[in-house]
Amino acid sequence: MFDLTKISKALELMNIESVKSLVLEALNEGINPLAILNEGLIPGMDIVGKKFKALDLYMPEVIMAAKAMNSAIEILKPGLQKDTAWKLEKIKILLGTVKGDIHDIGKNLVKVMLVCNGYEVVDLGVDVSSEKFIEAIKKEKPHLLGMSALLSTTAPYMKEVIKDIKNKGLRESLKIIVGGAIITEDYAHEIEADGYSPDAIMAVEKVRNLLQSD
Amino acid sequence: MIVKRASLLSNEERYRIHMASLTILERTGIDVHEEESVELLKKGGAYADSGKHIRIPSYMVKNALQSVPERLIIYSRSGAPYLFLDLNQVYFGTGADCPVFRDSITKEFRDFGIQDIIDASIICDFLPNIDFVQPYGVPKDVPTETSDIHQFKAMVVNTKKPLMFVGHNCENLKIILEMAKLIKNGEQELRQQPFFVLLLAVTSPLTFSKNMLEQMLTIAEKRLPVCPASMILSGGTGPATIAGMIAQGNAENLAALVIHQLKAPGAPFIYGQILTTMDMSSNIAVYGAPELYLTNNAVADMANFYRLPSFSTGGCTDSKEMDVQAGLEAGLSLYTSAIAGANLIHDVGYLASGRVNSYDYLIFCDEVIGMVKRIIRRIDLSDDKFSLDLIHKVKPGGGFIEEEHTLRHFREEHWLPKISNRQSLSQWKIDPSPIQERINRKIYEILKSHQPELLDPKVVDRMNEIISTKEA
Repeated sequence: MFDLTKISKALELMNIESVKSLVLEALNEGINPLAILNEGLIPGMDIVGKKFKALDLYMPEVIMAAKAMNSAIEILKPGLQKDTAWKLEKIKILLGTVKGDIHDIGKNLVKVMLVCNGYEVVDLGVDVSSEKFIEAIKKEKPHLLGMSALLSTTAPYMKEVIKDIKNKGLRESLKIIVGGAIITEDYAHEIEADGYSPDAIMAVEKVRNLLQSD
Repeated sequence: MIVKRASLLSNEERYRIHMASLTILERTGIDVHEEESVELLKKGGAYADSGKHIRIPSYMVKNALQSVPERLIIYSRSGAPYLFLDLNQVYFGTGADCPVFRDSITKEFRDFGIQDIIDASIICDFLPNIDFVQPYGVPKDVPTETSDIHQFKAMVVNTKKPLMFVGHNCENLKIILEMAKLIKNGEQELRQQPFFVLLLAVTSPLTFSKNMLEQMLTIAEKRLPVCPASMILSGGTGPATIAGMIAQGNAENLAALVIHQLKAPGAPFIYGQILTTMDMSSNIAVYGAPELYLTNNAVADMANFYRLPSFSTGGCTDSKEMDVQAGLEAGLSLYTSAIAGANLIHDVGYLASGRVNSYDYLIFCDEVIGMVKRIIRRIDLSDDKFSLDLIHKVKPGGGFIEEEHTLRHFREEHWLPKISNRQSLSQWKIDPSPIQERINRKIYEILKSHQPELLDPKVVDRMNEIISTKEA
């Protein structure tokens, strides 16, 4: 019987090629794709998560592991789709730094984390006006909007964007998460966003939680 | 204060960094988000690949380095020469625009108000080892759009020391310059006795925003001092290799210099960057990184290589309060930045990686600077200091405490702490006097009794009028 712990180990070691070939091997031996995911991949990612919290692993390594996880899931997809317990709709997330602000390192880190965790990300870039956000929401129909601001002068613009989204009747259709060096949990609450994240890695958790609550 | 600099980089290493930066400028280029700057660069010989993407050939850098002044004097508000930005002079100043204030006594975190900017200016005016002043935080009780103008006024009224600040935008900068002209007798005197430095933020990697360029061109035209400082986070907005980050930061600084000198040849320019790591767990910009201490030295060395006035960082911590970690990072950063010898060492007193300012840590850092200054003053080994006649007079087995020589010299030769605890153990057991309490008392005393030099009330009224007009 194929030893699925080999897959977790390979994931812990962030070895993309190894993970992919082991997953293929397991599939060829007739192992259930869902079992490969739940008993091979997820335990590996859990350990990566724990090691990250303990400061044994850092962001570049977590990104590598997430990429490995993601490429493994791509291989498993056809098999998983037959299992109706697995929801595989691609989650779409819209990101942008608000008008007047051109800082994007934080947003870019969030993008990297989301993409390597299997989300589809549409990045509107920097200096994004409310109109541009709304146009993109109508066109892309994202599940979630993430806004970033670094400056004390640009953070208030987030409030406006959320108001405009409400006025256009689009607020119920998506979740909104905010972040940036100047942003706080209190401020996110004040402007009626659905969530706040202080950094890119926690953003993935927040996004996951927000979208699960549906 | 003059320091005998400790170089990190050999001359050849400085040259190699310079060459690496020239390669970046000529091969990779920069994004220039402002039309006049693009035109200036194109006319000057730069290669414009697309609207905003510009590559700069090395002769343009050479020209800029030739025309820029090697040395600047920054004056006090009243026109006294105060900061000599030339070889081996170091000065210390605070950090700007913290979003959060921490009350040293109640330990409460709260928003800044304009009164805090006023209080901080008074404290900085008092502290002997703070040489230039930045706005302590972002005041939430004034309109957001004009908070920089309010900050400038609060500082200039409450301290005579030179200022450094970041403007929101070009429009506000012009208003601040109007106010500055009032304080001096017009533009001519302001140009000849500048009492502030405009700090501008570069967007790394290799990007100049419209806002930054508009402000830089405005201040260049007025021939007032500017410091377009990159802040690069290694592994985030710059390479994970420190050498790469240095080359990139240097390239960004040189590119800014090229545009600046094309606009106004000979206008005053201060070289400097903040090159540190991005924490790979929390993603913060690390203010207590040993890599920052190294790059401060590299930046100072490059400034020396180019013969430019310079800017670096010290007296800051990632700790959220004045604790052991904060103490360590104050000590290490202030000592290393002082012997590295960049002219303007900023961010003194910053807590929580620049998100929190609190008077207790500022006063603690002022004390540390005093100690550092004593070290960089080194040892006076002039002949008479050997005091051979005195040693002979006192004789083997004698004592020095009653000697007039001791009375005459101890204050000069020994650093006398104002905060550090030097009680004997038994004294301490009777009266522990924790450092936090001693500092808190000092904050209270300074704010109660320090009276900064007053500004002409007519000038203050005029400034208020200017602000009201803008906000109407």
